[in-house]
Amino acid sequence: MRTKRKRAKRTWKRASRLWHIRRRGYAAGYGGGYAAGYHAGRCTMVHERLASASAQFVPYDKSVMYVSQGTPGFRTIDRGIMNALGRLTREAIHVTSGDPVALLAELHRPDLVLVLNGIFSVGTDQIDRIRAMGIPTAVWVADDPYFSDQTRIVATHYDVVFTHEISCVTMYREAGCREVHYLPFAADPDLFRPAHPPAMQTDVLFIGMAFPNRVAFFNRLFPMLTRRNVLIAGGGWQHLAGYDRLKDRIWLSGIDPEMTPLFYSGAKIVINLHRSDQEAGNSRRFPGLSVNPRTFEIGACGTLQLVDERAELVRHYTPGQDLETFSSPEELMEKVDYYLNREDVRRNLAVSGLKRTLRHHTYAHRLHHMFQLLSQPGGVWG
Amino acid sequence: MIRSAQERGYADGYRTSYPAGHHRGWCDALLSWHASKTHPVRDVHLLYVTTGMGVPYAPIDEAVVDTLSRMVARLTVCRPTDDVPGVAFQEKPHGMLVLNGMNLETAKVARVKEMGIRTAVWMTDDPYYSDVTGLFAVHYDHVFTLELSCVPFYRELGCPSVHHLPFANDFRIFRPRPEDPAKRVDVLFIGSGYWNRIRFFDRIAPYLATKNVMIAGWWWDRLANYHLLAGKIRLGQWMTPAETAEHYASAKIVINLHRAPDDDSYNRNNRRLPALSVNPRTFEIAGSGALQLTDVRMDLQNHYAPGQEIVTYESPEDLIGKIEYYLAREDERLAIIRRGLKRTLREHTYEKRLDALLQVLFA
Repeated sequence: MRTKRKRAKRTWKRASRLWHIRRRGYAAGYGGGYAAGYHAGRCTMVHERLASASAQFVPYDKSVMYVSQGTPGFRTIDRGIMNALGRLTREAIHVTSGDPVALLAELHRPDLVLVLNGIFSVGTDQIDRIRAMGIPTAVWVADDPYFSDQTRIVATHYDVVFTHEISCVTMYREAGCREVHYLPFAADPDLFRPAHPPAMQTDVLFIGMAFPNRVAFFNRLFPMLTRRNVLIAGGGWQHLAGYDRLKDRIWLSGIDPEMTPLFYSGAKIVINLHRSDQEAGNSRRFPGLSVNPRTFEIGACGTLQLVDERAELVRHYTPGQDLETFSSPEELMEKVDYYLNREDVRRNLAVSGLKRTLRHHTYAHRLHHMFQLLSQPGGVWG
Repeated sequence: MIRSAQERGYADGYRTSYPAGHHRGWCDALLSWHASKTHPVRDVHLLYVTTGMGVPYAPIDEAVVDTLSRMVARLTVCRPTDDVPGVAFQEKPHGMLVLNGMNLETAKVARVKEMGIRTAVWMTDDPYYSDVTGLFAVHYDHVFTLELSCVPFYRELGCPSVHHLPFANDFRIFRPRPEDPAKRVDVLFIGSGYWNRIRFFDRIAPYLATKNVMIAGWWWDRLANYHLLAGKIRLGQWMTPAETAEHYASAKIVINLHRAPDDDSYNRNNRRLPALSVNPRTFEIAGSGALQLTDVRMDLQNHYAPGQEIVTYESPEDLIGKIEYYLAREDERLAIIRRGLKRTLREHTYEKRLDALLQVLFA
């Protein structure tokens, strides 16, 4: 009898303890959910207000054929360009590099054939044939300076060359290209947007391939990686030191490009670390001065971005206001600690970065600029 | 076990509060964006004559003065009992705007007009006191009325320039704000118990008795079903706009029921001019971020899209059905509130109204 009562008492005690723990958790979650919701709501409003920036541009009465590379890594860029072309031109035709591009160009007779990258994709013989038909051709190189040895040669076959890497502009001119322009990448606000509700909450997020310079850098972040709620997604990260201990925070399969906005939005801080410019495909060692497309894509999601500083960054964003920069693993860890403790500061930076992106860095802005350049006197549309 | 209890609690709390946070973040971002907009200042000197009355006119005066002071190069304010022609002679304004006009002698208006100053009146009580307003409207160059049906009325009286200018929301007072737990209710009505309202609420009283409801205002003891709602009625309590705003912001649904234009006990509207336009409350509720259920007036659709930015009801039964519907659907409720708020900020502010008025006055 007595033991029964004792047991009942013990069970009751246990249940009540658990109930209190759960209630404390609820209170903490309530505050966290409200704050996260508040930020998401703010970002949604900003996005609603500014995402239609492309509506301000008057469409060109032109037909453009866009040749995409067709590899998954460039899918978000392809979609961004196609969405913007649809709004800014009379007709936008999408073909992939595997298609008989010259034949299709002959059929459609567009006012411009725009090729993304042009190295792994459409052969230069096709481009020569298109040019022979009198159709202007342009290439937008997306991977400078990492493959500059190849792009240098390929680019000479086009009427106009656009590169997102400012250090390569002179290279193309010297290689004999007549018209070369600097045209940075951007974000598609329909694709990269503050997601509501986000997919997964993380403190620190990195999405990207494990290039050697990245692995070396992240090896020095080990103390932070174990202490914080971190997610690293991308191929090759099994080479990270201490991989066994970090296994559950690393997704080697990566994240589908269409899903990344959901993860960016759920992260408190997103790290952006550029690929090294000291790689084999860049034997002439053109410096990487310009920022990657990811810089703009993170900016479009309303999350704080910590990015390694490149010379061209300040042209697009103001560090300390729209995002933050780092130059060493120690500085990165210091800033992660700082911003994780200062929610308001972090979120204000994120909103400011979002506004800057939507106002200046969408594909509509870039293509509008591209068309302006093409329409200049002496240009292919001039 | 302990960890999972903590985590489950956290997840529950997070999920519960996220939508409310999202809604408020959205609203605040919208408000701060509108607040950051600047308006061009007109290079004119305006004389503004207040209503000269206390509640409920004083807050409107305040809102108009506050807004005008940001819109014109110079603003002089005086009361209708002041020596208005004397002030006009000394200060030499380009134009004079009178609110309501009931307390300003027509002789004063005539003398200001003789000095070559453009005069305008903005009628705030139409059509309920049309017997009185009809007597002095002709003395002004421009007449603005918030009641659509009064536009032809003043024209027939011989007023040369008559315009429909509805009221607006004063966002300094009626704006989304954090809800006050002590004021939290599901359904709210604030206003006096005019007979048409009494008849209406008597029919829904049995339903409201089962709900978390609050009714505040005068004369509600005239309800036949008063005993059913006695605990939910704040009788004879007149609230300041600020208090009202707090109650609006803490309610899930706010009912709006227009006063009848033919209620002879309070009105002076012998011509029986119909009431086609919406009351100021329509804009105030929409600006406060509560879901508004309103009865239909002809002019309503020119201000808000029913079903999108506001919800309308045709009958007491319809109202009950819609209360039930929207209390059960939080997402839809918040979406309508957001659209209503957006529309209010875009179109129904004192800046917009006074800008239109000044456009006419200084054309």
